[in-house]
Amino acid sequence: MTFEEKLKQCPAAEIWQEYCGFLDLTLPEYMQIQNRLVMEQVSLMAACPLGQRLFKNGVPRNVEEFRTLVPLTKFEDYADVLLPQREEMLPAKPVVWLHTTWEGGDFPSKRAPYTESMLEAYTRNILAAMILSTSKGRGHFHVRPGARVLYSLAPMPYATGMFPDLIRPQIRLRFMPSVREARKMSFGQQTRLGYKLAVKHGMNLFFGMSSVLYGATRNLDSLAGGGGGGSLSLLWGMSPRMLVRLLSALYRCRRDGTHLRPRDLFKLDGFVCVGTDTALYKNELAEAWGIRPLELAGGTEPSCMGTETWSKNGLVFFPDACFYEFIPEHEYLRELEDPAYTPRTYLMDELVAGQKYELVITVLKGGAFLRYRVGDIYRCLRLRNPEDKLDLPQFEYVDRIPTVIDIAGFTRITKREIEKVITLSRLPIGHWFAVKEYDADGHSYLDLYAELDSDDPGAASLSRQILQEHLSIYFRSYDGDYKDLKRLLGMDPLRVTILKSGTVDAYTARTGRRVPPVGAPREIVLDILHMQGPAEEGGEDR
Amino acid sequence: MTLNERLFIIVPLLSLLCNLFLFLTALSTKKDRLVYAFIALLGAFTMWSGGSLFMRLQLAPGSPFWYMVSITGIFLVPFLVYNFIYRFTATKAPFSHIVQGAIWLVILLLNAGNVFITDPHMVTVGHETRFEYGVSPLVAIPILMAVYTLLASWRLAYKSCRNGQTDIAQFRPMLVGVAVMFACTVSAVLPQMVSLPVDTFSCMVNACCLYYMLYRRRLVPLRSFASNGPVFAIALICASVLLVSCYRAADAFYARYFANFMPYKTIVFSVAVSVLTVLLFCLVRRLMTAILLKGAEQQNEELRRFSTDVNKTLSMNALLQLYRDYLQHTMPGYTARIFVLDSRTGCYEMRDATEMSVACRDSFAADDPLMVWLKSRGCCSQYAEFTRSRYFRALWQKEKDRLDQMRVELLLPVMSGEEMTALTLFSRQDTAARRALSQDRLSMLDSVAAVLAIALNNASLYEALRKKAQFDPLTGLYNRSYFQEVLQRDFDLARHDQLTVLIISFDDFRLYNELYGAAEGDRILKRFANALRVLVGSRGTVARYSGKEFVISFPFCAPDTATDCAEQARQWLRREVVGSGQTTRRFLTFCAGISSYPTCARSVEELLTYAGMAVYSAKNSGKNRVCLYTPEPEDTRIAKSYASKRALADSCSSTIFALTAAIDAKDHYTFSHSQHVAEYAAALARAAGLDAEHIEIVRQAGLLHDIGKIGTPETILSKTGRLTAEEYDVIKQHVEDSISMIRYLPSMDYVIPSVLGHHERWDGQGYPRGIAGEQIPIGARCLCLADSFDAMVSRRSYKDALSVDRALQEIEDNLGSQFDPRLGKLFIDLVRSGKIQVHADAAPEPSSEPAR
Repeated sequence: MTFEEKLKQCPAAEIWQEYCGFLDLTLPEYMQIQNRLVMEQVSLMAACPLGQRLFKNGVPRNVEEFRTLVPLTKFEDYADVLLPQREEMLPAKPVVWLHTTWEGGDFPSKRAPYTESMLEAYTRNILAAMILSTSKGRGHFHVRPGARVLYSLAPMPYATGMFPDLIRPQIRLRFMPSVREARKMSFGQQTRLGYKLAVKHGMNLFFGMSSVLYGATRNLDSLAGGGGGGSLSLLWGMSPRMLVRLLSALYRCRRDGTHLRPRDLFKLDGFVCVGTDTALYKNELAEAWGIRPLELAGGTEPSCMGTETWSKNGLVFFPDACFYEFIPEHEYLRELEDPAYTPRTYLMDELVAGQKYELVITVLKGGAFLRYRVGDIYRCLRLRNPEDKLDLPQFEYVDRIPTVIDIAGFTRITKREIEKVITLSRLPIGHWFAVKEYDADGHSYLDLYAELDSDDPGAASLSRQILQEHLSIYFRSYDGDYKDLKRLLGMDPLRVTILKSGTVDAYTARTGRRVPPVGAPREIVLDILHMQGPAEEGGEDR
Repeated sequence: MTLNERLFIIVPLLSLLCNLFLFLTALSTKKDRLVYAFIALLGAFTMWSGGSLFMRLQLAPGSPFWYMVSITGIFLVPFLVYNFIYRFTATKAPFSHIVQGAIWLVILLLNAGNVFITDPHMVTVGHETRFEYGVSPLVAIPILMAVYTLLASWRLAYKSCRNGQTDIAQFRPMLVGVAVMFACTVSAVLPQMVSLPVDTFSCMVNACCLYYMLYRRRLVPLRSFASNGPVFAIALICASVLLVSCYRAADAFYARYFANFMPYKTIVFSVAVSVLTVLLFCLVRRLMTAILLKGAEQQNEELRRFSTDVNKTLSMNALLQLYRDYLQHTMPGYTARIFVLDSRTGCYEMRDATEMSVACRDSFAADDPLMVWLKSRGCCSQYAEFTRSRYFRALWQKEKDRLDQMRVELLLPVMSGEEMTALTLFSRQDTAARRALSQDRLSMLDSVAAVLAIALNNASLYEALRKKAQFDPLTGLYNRSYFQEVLQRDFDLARHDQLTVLIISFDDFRLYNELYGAAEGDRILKRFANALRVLVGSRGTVARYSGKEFVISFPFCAPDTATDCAEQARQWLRREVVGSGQTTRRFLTFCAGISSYPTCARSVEELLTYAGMAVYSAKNSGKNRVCLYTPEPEDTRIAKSYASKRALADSCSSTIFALTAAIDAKDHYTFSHSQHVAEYAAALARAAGLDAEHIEIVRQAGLLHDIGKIGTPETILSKTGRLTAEEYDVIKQHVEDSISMIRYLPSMDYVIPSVLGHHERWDGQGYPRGIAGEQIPIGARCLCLADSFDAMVSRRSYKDALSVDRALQEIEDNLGSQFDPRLGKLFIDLVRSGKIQVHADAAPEPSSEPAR
């Protein structure tokens, strides 16, 4: 029975139970499911060459052994199998391979296999998220077949590109633009056309990246009409209902002297957004759209692994997508300073509320990744939520791990990339380090602290502005995602701070601490700036 | 009467009857607020139809009255529909409910005062007679109110569906009813339809639809049609119809043939109608029962029979077989797989199936999500419900595939308290029709499970008790008595092959217990038992034979297998005891004896005896060894044994002499009595054909037979007069005393049977055990003859010596009563032939005092 048939034939309580029943689990019940499924994964892995390679210390017989015997892994551990798509090495036959950017890797992209069982769970979890996005309380939801969906996510073979393919066999939704059309377009074109269609015909559901959505929200006028003749063409073919809404909204805006906001035009049933910076945009989006967005957690390797509930206040991880382990902040920071150190992991029932954790996943149901460090940091918001009568921990996405600088969920910049850009730019930069900072509007940017080579005769002529523009050009040419940032969101996320020559060496000599090239702790940055003293006259803007 | 006029009578009549019938049926069901709401609505429909009909028929008290009944019914319908939906959806809006009720009450009162519609008056157009009404403009009020109330009902139903409280499918019959009512109302506008009774027709259809709605909700079962009220209504209606249709003919018939009884016509007709009604009532009830209750009664009968059958057995297998047969019979088209909780493994093991082709090799772990879910449900459930539960997420893919492959549709747990002791999985067969099981059938399955739960509980308790009786509580191995059953079974199985028995006995285990404590002794016994279980595996059966002894049966195995096993056990014990990590070095060994069928034993008893003898032999050969019993040539064995016994007796001769001398010293009349008895008994044993070893035993027994008399007071021994009963009891005690003393003589316990039985009598009147005939050991019978003879021919304190002939005569007289007839005759012959040389005292005059 498809989801649509269930909507027609089954009571809402049954549908809720099937898709969102996991929210009724107690933590011990949740852990039981996790433990059971991870042992299934172990048994599958034990029978395949990839698993045998990872189980070189012996096949685990229980979860404790699994966490002791199997090392923490990164994509490098799988690259030789997954990049050439060697299916014979895998625990189960994949039906689809998804791609994503491999930040700091030897190859531009990572690949992740998806088995049939994984897709089954993925579909169920996406539908659960869709139900929850329209719900206002436990058991109450409003999903209707034929709903119009504005879909603004990355296309296949990225993980979010799977959404329409998974949903379409289950329920009849009208994607704007249609999936077939969207696949022929660039991401930007797809978003623009989607908005046009939404303004013309209305929209019930929204699936999109929060940063794109934020940009679109701010530029609704331009996206919808494009001005002038565009407006006329927009009015032509507009549904009467939307025309009435548009005209009344325009009237109200003119009367009150405000901008046109999406909430004036659309009455959404559900609003789903993904992306690493969602937390930053959430309040503004809720204000603009009149409905609080539901955030999803996921990625190419873990698939759709978490969702918020009806209160849209914290993620809950699905029990059957991955087996979750968590590295506490002090452990991963210790590893950052001492790369030989192996951090300890904790399970879902061992967490502390308010603590930040790096996520480690084991993809269940025949996935390829065991104890895999995705590179995401989550904060455990609470261990249970009495208001929502939820007995499971809830999380919020914090950021990528310190060695990766994620900007607006579009691009992930690593040490390797910055080195490459500096080399290509041939700028006389000596020591440097980069950190992620946020501007007054709460938007992230990359702050590159650089020492110019004092021996280089041209160094004196380089101002901060020149450096910034120069490096920005190379970033855009080297990293397509970085380029999209500028193109789609109109932002340049690079800022350069020039340090006095020898500052980094002096800091290391004085404190004995190494300055990490990417993700240096805030106190190190402040110490270095203090050591340098007040900026010289025009020191920053030479 | 025109067709239209007829229709105006027939349709309201049908509607009235239908509503009345449903009304009575609903009255006979279990009532709640919803059923009351339905009854009220049916009442309104009945008023509507009945009023319309009786108005048309112009029955008393007259058209205005029936018009008022009908119009009240019509005005009540909107609110009662609302009330019905309100109850059906279990909505909580009492304010709106009460306000609407109040408004409709006011409308009804106003209507009673003819505010909206005036009384009808009859109009005849052509051949047709119609009722025409005068309508006031105020009639818009009840019409608008009716529209509002019906829309409010619609809203309640919609909200209930949208919130998932009620399934839309449940409202389908109502939707049909509404559609018919709407169609009828619209069609009434058409000139062709004006003269048709469409309103009462829609009233009848609506009543049926609503009844069906309640039936689907299982609030009014169909079988309530077969209750007395509706059946009587049908009988009454049929009788009335018959009376009306046949009255004229019956009247003519009566007038023609019973003209003389005309004054009694009314009585005769009344009685006839009453009898007819009763007959029809019986007929209709039987018919309704056959149609509606037969299935249920059959189900109940099957359940009752199953319940009786399962209560008669305590065997788990028999129970499961009964259950399987029951399911085969009552669930055609389904394959049932029966799983029972195995308390040892903690898994639900498949024990039976209703299809021969289904292999019973499946099992579910107790913590399997399906089992956990089913336990939490505790009643018959659909598999589809499980797939929608959160437990389903925990299933492994191969578990899902397995259940899909089984095509499980239904699951029936068997609950015993909070525990699920068994479950049945039902899967639909390919050929079966795809029809959902009725709720009655599911309830019946739950009842079956409840009956089975009690029976299974009893069976498992019985099984547990039986097992408890089979196992040794310390080691968990079989105990001795059950092992003998097992060995007999093995023997029967291996009768044409071979069977080996190994007995293992710890050396000096009492010493080990004393040195290291009983707890340590128990520990090593348990560990050793486990080790043996592992070593033997499926090759044989291990049991604890006695305190420190274990026995193992190896069917179809040669003695080599037992030898290997014993050697492995020895190595294990060495590692366990020596390598136990204790500061003091411990030491424990065992002897093992092996016997084998058919090479050296011919029966189960011989297998155990010979294995025991092999253990004994191993113990005598220095302990800590394995000894295989080998049958030696008889003469060699006897010679060896005789030599050993003779040597033993020689080594103990000084002790024996000292003891017998002590008795002789106490009772000088019995001087040399023991020597003489030993001599006579040995001669008799030899003549009886016993082997040298046995003769030596008899001889030694003769020497020691009265050793217990050391403890007998001299006054009794040397008493000259007749002994009192108490004194005789003291004398009799000497047999037990002899045994107690012999126990202390090193390794001379083999003489005990002969000594113990030397005062037993052939007829069973002897002491101490009162055994008779061949039960008395042959050595004891020899001693008895020799002892009596020597006592008779010797002088005692209480008697003189008898002559030899007199003594032999005495023996002859007591053959078959006191003495073994065969041995007695032989003894007499031996004495008379001089082969036994008699040591007799001089015999002055015979006396027949028996030996003491």
